[in-house]
This record gives sequence, C-alpha cells and structure tokens, in this order.
Amino acid sequence: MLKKYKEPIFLLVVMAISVFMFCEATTIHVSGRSRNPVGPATWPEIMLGGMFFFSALLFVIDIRRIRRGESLEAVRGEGESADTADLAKDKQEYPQRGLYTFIFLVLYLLLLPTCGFVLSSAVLLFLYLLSLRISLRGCLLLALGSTAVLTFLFPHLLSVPLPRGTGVFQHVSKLFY
Amino acid sequence: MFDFFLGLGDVLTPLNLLIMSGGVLFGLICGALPGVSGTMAVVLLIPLTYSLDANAAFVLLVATYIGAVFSGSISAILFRVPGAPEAVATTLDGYPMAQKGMAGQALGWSIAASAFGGVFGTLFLITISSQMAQVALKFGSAEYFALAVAGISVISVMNRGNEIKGLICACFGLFLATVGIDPIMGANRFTFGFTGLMGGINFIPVVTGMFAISEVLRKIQTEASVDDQTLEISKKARSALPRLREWKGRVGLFLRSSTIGTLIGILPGVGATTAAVLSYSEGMRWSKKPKEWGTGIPEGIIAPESANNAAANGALVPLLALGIPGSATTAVMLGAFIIHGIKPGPTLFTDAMPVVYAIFAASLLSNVLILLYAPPFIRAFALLIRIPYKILGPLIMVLSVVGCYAVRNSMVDVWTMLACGLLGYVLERFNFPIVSILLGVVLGGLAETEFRRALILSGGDYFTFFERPISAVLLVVALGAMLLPGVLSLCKRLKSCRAPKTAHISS
Repeated sequence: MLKKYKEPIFLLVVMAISVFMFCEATTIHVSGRSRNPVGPATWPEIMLGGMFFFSALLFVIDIRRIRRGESLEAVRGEGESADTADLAKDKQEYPQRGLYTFIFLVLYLLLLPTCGFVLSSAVLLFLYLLSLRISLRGCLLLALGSTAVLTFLFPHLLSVPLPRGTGVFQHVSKLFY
Repeated sequence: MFDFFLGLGDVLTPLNLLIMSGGVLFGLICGALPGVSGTMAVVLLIPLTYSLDANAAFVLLVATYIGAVFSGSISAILFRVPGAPEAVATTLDGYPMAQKGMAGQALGWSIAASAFGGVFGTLFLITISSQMAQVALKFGSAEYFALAVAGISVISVMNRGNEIKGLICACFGLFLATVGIDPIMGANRFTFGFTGLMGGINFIPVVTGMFAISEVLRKIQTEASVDDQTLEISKKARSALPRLREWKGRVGLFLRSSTIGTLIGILPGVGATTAAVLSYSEGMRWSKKPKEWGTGIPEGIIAPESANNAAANGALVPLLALGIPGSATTAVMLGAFIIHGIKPGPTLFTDAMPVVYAIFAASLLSNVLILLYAPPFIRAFALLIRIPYKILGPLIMVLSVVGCYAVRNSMVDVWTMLACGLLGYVLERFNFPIVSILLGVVLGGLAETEFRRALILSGGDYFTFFERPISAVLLVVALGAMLLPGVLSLCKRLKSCRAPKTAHISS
C-alpha cells in the first residue's frame, strides 16, 4: 500500500523543503534594497516557488493515476534516459553494502578533521574493506597502499594540502606531509 | 602567417619539444585526478618557469593546460567522476557508453573531439583574435543572461516525457546556485550560520556527489558489477580512434561545437565548463534524435569535448589581445606574463611577437601531441577498471573526498558531496533527471547575477533584454525551444480529440 505512494510522499517532502526555504528567503535583508529592482531574495523565491508548483502538479497527477489504478512504474519509461531506466533493472543483491558504504562515509568525514587524512583513511578503509569480505591481507595492502599513494600524490607531488587533524594526530600527520 | 611559422620554428627546438611533451603529460595526469584542475596544474608549474626563457615558459604552461582540459574526460567516461570541471558534461554520455562496453570508442571520440576542438580554437586564435576580442567587449549583462537562459532551455528537449521532473530538478539546481553571499548586494543567503557556505556551493562537490557517490552507493549493492561487467568494460577500454567513415554525419557537430566553444571561451568570465554544458545542450537541441542523448552516444561526447578544448584556446583571445583574463587559468597566465616582463594587451603583438606566436604554435602542437600520448595513457589508466567494484568503489570514494576537499580546502565541500550523493541516489530511484540539476548549478550563478545587473543598469526596465539584438535573438530562440514541445503536444492532443468526434459524426 505504502509502496504505491512512495513517489507522492517524496513529492510532499520536496514541497515541504521548498516552503521552508521560501520562508527562509523572505528573511533575507540588506540595506538599500529598495534602490534595486530585484533584491537578493527574488531569484531564489522564484525558483522555490517553481519547485513547489511543479512538485504539487506532479503530486496531483500521481494521485490521479494511482486512483485510476495505473502503476507509476508503467507511466515512467518513455521520458527517461537509459541511465535512469537501467536503475530499475539493478538487483540489490547486497543491500547491506550500501549501508556500510554510507556509515563509512559519515565516519570518515567526521574523523577526517580530527584524526587527519593518513590515520582516518588507513583505519577506516581497512575496516570498510573488511566489511565487504575482502581478505585480511588484501584489506591491509589496499588501505595502506592507497593512503600512501594519495599522500605522496597530493601533498608531496602536487602541493595540495590534506587535513592534518588536531592535537596529537596533527603531529603524527606531520611525519608524513 | 610568416610570423606564425617563425614561432613554430622557435617551438620546434629539441628543448622546447621536450618541455612541451612534459607539459602535456603533466597536464594529462593532473586532469585525470579529481580535484586537480587545469588551473591548479598551471599554478603548480609557475615556479618552474622562473628559470626558463619566456618562449619555453609559455610553451610549458599552454601544453599543461591543454593536456589537463582533455584528460578530465578519462575518469568521467570510465568512472563517472569528472577529473576536471570542464568534463562535467562528458559524463552524461561517456559513462553510459562505457557501461555498454564501448569505453574504447567513447575515449577515442573524446580524443578526436578534444584534438579537433583544440586545433579549431587555435586556428581561430591565429586568424581573428584581435577582431573577436573587440566583439566580446560588446557583450553586456543582458547578453550573458540570455546566453544562460539559452543553455537552461534545453531541459525541455532533454526530458521529453518527463518534463515536470526535469523542471523540478532545474529549479532546484538554480536554487542551489543562490546559496552563499549574494554577489551584488552582499546578503547572506541560506547559509544557516555556516561560514563555510558563505562562498556558495561549488559545483564540483555537487557533480561528484550526484554522479560518483550515488553510482558507488548503487553499484556496490549489485553482484553483476563486481566481476563480470567491469571486466568486460575494461577489456574494451582501449581508446579506439574513430575511423574516417564514422565521422560522416558528425562533422557538422564537430564544427558547431568547436565554434560555440571558441566564442564562449572568448567571453570573459564564462569559461570552458559553461561552454561544454551549452554545447551539449545545443547539440541535443539540433539533433535529429534528441531522445538518444544521455543514453551513451558519441555525439554526447563530441559536443562537450570539442567545446571545452576550443574554449580553452578561446580564453586566450581577450588575454592576448586586450590584457583581460577571461578565466582562472588565463588570470594565472597573466601573472606569468608579468613575471617575464611582458605586458599583454593591444601592444603585445608588436612588443613581444615571438612569444605570441610561440603560444599559438605550442597550442597547435600540444593538441597533436594529445593524439600521440593519450592512447597509451588511457591504456594505463583503464587497468584500474579491471579491479572488482567492491575494491574500486571504496577507492573512488576516497579519491572523491580528496578531490572535493582539494577544491577549496574545505570540509563543507566534502559534506556537500555526501549530501548530494545521497540526494542523487534517491532522485535516481524516483527517476528524476539529475542532469537538469547540473545545468541549473552551472548556469544559475551567471543567469541570476547578469539578470539583476542588467536590470540595475537599465533602471528596472525589463525590455532591456529585448532591446539589444544579441540578447533578443538568444531569448526568442530559447523561449521558442522551451515552448515548442508543449505547443506541439497540445496540438497533437487537440487533433486526437477531434478525430474520434469527426469520425463519429461522419458515421
């Protein structure tokens, strides 16, 4: 039942976001606004209004189609690129991998500013690869190897700074770059 | 022309050829790495040029930039991660083509288009650079706004049958481009107290998130991508330069895209990325089969790749002829000119003629060198796809994180990438065309700023956009292109409504 209404629910979320952002846009203030024909809030207000209007329109169309017993999946297809149409064919045989990937990314981004690039990349990449059932030796080799290559490539060869972390981690990072 | 051959003679010394080869190779490596743009590659080499004479210095810088602009397409085609901002539009057809097992052809078309666009842009530069620079100066805010609208208008063609979702995505993209400090009045918009958002949302994290991260999230969950499919693609990921008969019917697209690229490159402040996106949208608009665009066709690679390489050369026109840097890279090159005691501008062609023609010759030869160096470079790079996706996926993610961080050394960009990755994953599940978001983010800043600036200059007169001939023509074409599909489908519906009635009456 709920599966049928997945897209309309998503559209409701889009509408809620556009209303929230629209309210936020109305609070944008600058002095001397009256002298300019179009203020800093006008353009985003038009875009958010458009987003709300088109989402509401699609919501009504979707609801009417569902009530008529048409499947939204069947209605799609003709206007889509092969890229998006292929998505439906993908079988999620390992859905837990998607979850691990998301957890890895969040933890990685949280640790990066504190622990620095070398430590957080090596440790988290090792754990993540382990969760994907790669052999222990492979995990170790890949985690350390890729961290070493990126550390050599970016800070050393290309002079592009990477996060060093704070406190003791900063001192550890300074040993490498 | 005699001066050009003198410049060519200067460049063809063994030392300069060696410097040029090194520059092209360095550019190829930098461009293929996400987060290291052509501008950054040129900046990195500036200290090296102190010890070189002016001719050799500019040979090195031009060769590096041209190499970097091309190689951004390699990772865009193979991994859906644009190596350089200029390759953003190449992802749209390059990656689906690689997924069909045609990675070699995709890379081959990319090399051919880059070389063609580059040579076209250089020839343009040699012949009518000073005249075109004067025309570019006539472009005002109204024209820039109209140009952006013309680019955005392609969403009606791009998302036929899925227009409403395309419009929602385009509005969202245009809205994303407004985050940060307002460029005209300095107001803070949608930053929610985060100082990191004041500089706005850079489109590199948006594109990396929506294309690369969402793809990793999707592919890592499927079994097929882990072994068989990737192996199949990697076997075919050897660049196969297109045969002469394959060019048939595509020469017009090559010429049109290169012309668009060169003309947009000449306009100060627009850049090769916008040129590639606009060329892609125009290519789709003029195509007889617009529905096939985005499904993995060579035309979708030819259009952006010819344009971005032509634009890289076009950007040199205002720098050399007027002393105005049209892009970030040419701004860096302006610094290099000053370091070597040369003043770019109208007097450059008389004061430092050998340097100017050395730049022209280096630009031409670097594009030829791409044809030589790119195939082995791609072969080495393509070895990476032989790695199973459960290993490659995490490596792409770490590289994407580093690449996004390197853009502005900001963690906000990396978080933006993650948020966009999740959003892209969800939007693709609901069949929203994320390409429309990309169009909005790339062209949104230009559209809004120039729209407001034009109105300020005209004292709030909205007719200013139609009073200037260039902007009027561009806007009429864009509006026509946007409204035409709707009008045509309405006519079709009316016809089909009438047909049964008349049939009923006649019976």
